[in-house]
Amino acid sequence: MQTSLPKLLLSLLLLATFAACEKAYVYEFDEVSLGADSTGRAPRARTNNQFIRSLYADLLARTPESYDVVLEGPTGEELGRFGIDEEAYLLFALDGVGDPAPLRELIAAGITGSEALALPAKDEVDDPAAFIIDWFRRLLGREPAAHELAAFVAEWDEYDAVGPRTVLRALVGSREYQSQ
Amino acid sequence: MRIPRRTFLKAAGVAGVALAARRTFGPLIRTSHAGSTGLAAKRVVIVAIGGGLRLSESLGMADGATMPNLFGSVPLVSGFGPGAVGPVAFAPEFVAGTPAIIRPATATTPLHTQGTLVTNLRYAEGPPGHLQGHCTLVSGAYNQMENRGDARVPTPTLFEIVRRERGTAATDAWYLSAVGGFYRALQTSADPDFGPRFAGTFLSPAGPMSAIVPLVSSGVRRYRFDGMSLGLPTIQDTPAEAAAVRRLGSILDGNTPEYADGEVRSSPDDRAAIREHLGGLYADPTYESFYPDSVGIGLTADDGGIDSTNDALTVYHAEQILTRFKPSVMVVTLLDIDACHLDYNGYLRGQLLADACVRRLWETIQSTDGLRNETALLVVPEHGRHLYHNGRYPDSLGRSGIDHGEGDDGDRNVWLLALGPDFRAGQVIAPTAIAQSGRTSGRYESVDVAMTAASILGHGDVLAAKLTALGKRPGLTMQELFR
Ligand SMILES: [Zn+2]
Repeated sequence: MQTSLPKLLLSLLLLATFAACEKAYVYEFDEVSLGADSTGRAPRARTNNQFIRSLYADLLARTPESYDVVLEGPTGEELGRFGIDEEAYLLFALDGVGDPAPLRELIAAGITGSEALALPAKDEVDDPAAFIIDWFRRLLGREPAAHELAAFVAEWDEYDAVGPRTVLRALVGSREYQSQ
Repeated sequence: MRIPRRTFLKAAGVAGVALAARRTFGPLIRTSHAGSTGLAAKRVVIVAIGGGLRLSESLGMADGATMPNLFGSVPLVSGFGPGAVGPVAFAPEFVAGTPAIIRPATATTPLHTQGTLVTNLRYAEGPPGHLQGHCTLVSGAYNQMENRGDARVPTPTLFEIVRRERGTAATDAWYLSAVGGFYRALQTSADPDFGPRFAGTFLSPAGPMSAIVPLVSSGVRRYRFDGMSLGLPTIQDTPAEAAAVRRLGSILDGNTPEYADGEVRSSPDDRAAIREHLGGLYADPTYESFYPDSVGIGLTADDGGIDSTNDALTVYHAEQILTRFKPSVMVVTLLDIDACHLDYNGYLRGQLLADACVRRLWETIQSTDGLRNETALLVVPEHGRHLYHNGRYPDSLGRSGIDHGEGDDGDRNVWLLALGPDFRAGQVIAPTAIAQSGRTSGRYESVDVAMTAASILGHGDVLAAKLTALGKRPGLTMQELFR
């Protein structure tokens, strides 16, 4: 499939809708805090804002940034540029869903598939258990329990689809990671 | 055939509920049939034209035929002249200074001839404000709901009633809104018998149904256009990988207690279904899935393509969800016409586009197996606007913005268009002898929309009983709509 420049520009205009939305209406948009209250042993859910910031910190080792995306022509000449504010844009998208979980999963899928993270391919991981343990530590701040490690390694061995990216996606999609 | 009384009493099983329903519907129940609802409609879609739409512009066509696909070009309320009106009277500076409107040629026969149009619906109580009007349409109760995203509808929504009574998934009840923010509050009530576990699935397409997620999550900052393609980023989420993530996630979640914060959280199956739907959009390298030019509704883009409007984008994705999930209930909030606070011409434009969108939605329904002839579509403004202009940003034709909220007749006089297999065709009505204890309007009211929807779905008794128990005046099922 090929993508035309006009269609990209249309997409960018959709992005621009984000800014326009706030100006077009005079509503008071209160920040929605998901999981602000908790009771007993139940975990406190991370807000969308907290989730985005932790995802960038834990996967990309940086905070969300604002930058210009540059469009170049066939010979490298600049055709145009537009600004992206990673945090604001992703929060805008997350604000558009009731339960943010499915969209959080897809954002994680996008980042874990990005060149910026550059995860190894499955066959490049010599020691799956070590890889899994390492990412448990980095994302959950703990060692995997024995049954968790066994289950993850078994899945890794049994299914082609289970590899570095799925391990990370599962970890950041877990209730444990998504809780404060 | 009139809507059968069993529609309302069905599934009650409790004498109190049946009594409450009988008291509520009273003399309007004219025919009794045994068995199911006896209706062909299996689902209800409510398109709530939000932001405030006055009778004078829509049915009165005071500035031309702003909704020609729905209503044609001859005013449908008195006081606006007997003959056909011309096209919409945009101010010349608006035409010159804004992108051209793109919409299909107007239908030769207006849609209202396929159903019943109530020209004197009354938003009788409550503030004519954002959220309160929509809250009335999703809950069937006038309210003073706060404009907060974490607010809760005071009484059960149609979404919750349908899901609880039918035991269905979150994908059986959808709430799509042209804007997010506090509109997300309408997905559920705080009623302990219902609440977030039965919430509708909320989506405001401008954010999630856009290039934001694949573009931003890719982190790519430079694209090379080779004359043919750009290689735009996508998100790949194969079924095998999604299943693997779910299996691994369930291992992890087994160690962590459920949240107990009262927020809306979908089940793992619902989450997977919604993720799959969104993921399908993000996997499309053409980005056409967000809003294909073939929709043919929007504004002319600088490059000659089509820019969607928020309303058009919302209706397009409502269609995609309807055809994919075939839910029992969907409510769609449009809001572009609310530009009217500051931009009267934008208000007129919003009506033209909403009109084109509703027609397209109906044609999609009627051309889709599993939706055709089994879907009721109710189109209704959430409320109107003031009878007077506010003096802000007047155009060269002397028309300034119009606000809403004070509750004059401009705010409260609206209409309802009912399309579907059970509604009478070609009927334009304005009943004035609708009787109910506490109803002073003598007319059908905005609260009747949700009650009629609930009754079509076989749950009118549940809604009536609940509202009665909470001290609210339930709406009536609008008998005159039905064959
Ligand atoms: Zn408004």
